[in-house]
Amino acid sequence: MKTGNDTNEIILNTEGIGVTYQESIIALKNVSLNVPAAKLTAILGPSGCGKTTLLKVIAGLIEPTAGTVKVRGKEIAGPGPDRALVFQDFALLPWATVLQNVGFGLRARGVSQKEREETSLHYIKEVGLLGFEDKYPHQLSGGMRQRTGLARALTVNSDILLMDEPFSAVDEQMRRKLQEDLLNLLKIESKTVIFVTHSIEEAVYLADQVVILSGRPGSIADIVYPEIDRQGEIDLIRRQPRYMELVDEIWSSLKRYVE
Amino acid sequence: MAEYSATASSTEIGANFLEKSNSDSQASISSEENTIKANSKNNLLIWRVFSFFIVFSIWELAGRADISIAFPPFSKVLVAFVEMIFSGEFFVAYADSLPPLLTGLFITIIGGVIIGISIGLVRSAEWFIMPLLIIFQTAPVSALIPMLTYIYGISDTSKIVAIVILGMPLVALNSYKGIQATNPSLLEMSKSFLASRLDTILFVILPSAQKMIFAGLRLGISGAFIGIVLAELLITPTGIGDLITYNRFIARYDKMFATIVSILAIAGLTLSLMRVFEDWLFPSEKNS
Repeated sequence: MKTGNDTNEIILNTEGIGVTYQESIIALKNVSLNVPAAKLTAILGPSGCGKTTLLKVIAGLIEPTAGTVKVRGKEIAGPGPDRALVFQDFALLPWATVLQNVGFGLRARGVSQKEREETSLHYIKEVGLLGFEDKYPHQLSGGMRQRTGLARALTVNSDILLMDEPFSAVDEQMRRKLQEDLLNLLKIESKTVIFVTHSIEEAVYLADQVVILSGRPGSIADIVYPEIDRQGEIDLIRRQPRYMELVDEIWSSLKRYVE
Repeated sequence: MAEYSATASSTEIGANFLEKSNSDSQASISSEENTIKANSKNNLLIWRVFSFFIVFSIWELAGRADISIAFPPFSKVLVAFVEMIFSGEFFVAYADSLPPLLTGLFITIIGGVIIGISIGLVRSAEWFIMPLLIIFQTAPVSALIPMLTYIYGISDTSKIVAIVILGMPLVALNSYKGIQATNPSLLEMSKSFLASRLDTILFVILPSAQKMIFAGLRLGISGAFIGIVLAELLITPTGIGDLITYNRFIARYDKMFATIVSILAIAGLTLSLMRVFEDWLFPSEKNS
């Protein structure tokens, strides 16, 4: 628990999160969750189960009606510098270039333009967008837009990266490429990632911990630890028997929540 | 003679050839692009001029068809137009009309944008001002204009008020709608990246509302021109309104139409200037 390298260190946890809309619509019920540092946690569930709501609660964008979110044991009050968000719909400013979009978080933190551009360019390079920094979002493909969103989240140097179905708006091949690139990137950048997905394969492929939410109202149905070896070739992950077993296992436990 | 022309043309060809070989292949692509751009620009201008030409031709024909003496052909109106420039009639009339028009436009633009943005951003302002704006937008405001005479008398103030009540609601409502239409996902993004309220307004909300605000400004400017003409026709027999009314009474219809054309031209010019101003303020939109 003391050293940063300790694999069991919990960087973020939620305690009894509940979200109720308009007095009667229960979106989330009693969600208690531990997120280990420098690991990937996937939140998986059928559509409408409140997984995005849970992520927004963790991000501090939605105030829960019950329970708390703690980062390193301290209760959060809204968005903070320790968490950065990647959006499902990219949320890029259409009138701003890639460079300006990536630098948005730094600008909001009052970083000077020169430093902002240097840092932004560093991460633009890291996500593989070098040469596109002066393009506008409408000139980019879906995959490139999400890379921009990812670079923006990386520039602010938060320990925790929150991703809301980050690869759902791009086509299948691009999704695979982005998933691989994310794994490679996380070998360089030590980040805790919490990402929401409706894809069992994506969850098993990427995550160290898969949190399965039941249907509405969303509550934790099961937590699975894939323990897949990701040290070696990334291409081989999908061929491991463990990978296929897990996908089946999760599907059978998730099936009953899918109408 | 024939020999001479032959040599002339051959030297011309020679000169052309030299020029061509001089302009190196390196620049050929960009120069080609430039000519295409220039051509399309020229084409655009030709079409615009052509559209005016068609309208004026139909006007000319309709005027000559002798439908009514109150509808003179375009050529007569054009002559009257030039005549009125040199006789100083326009000068005197616009000296009366332009000061209240410019004052009214200024209030319409600045006030409209400020009101629109504040009701878009502040909930209580929305409740307070919105109903009034909607009434002003939907009611036949021109019916209120004669009433202004009772309040402000025959003065520039009446004209300015007429301009403002016709123009400002349009500017304010469109600015408000532009602010309201900001993509909620971008607002969430801004919040999650810890942008202050001011930063969010400056870097997210206002750029996103820019197009609607300028659309409102163009509508508002048109409204302001309607306001000044109505005020001068209905309340105060001065300026261009008076010029129109007076020439109608003395049956100088050519001059009456020339006056109308002049105000249309000025309104069109103002709107074009607004476009230029928008492009200058937000150049990035052009590059895309």
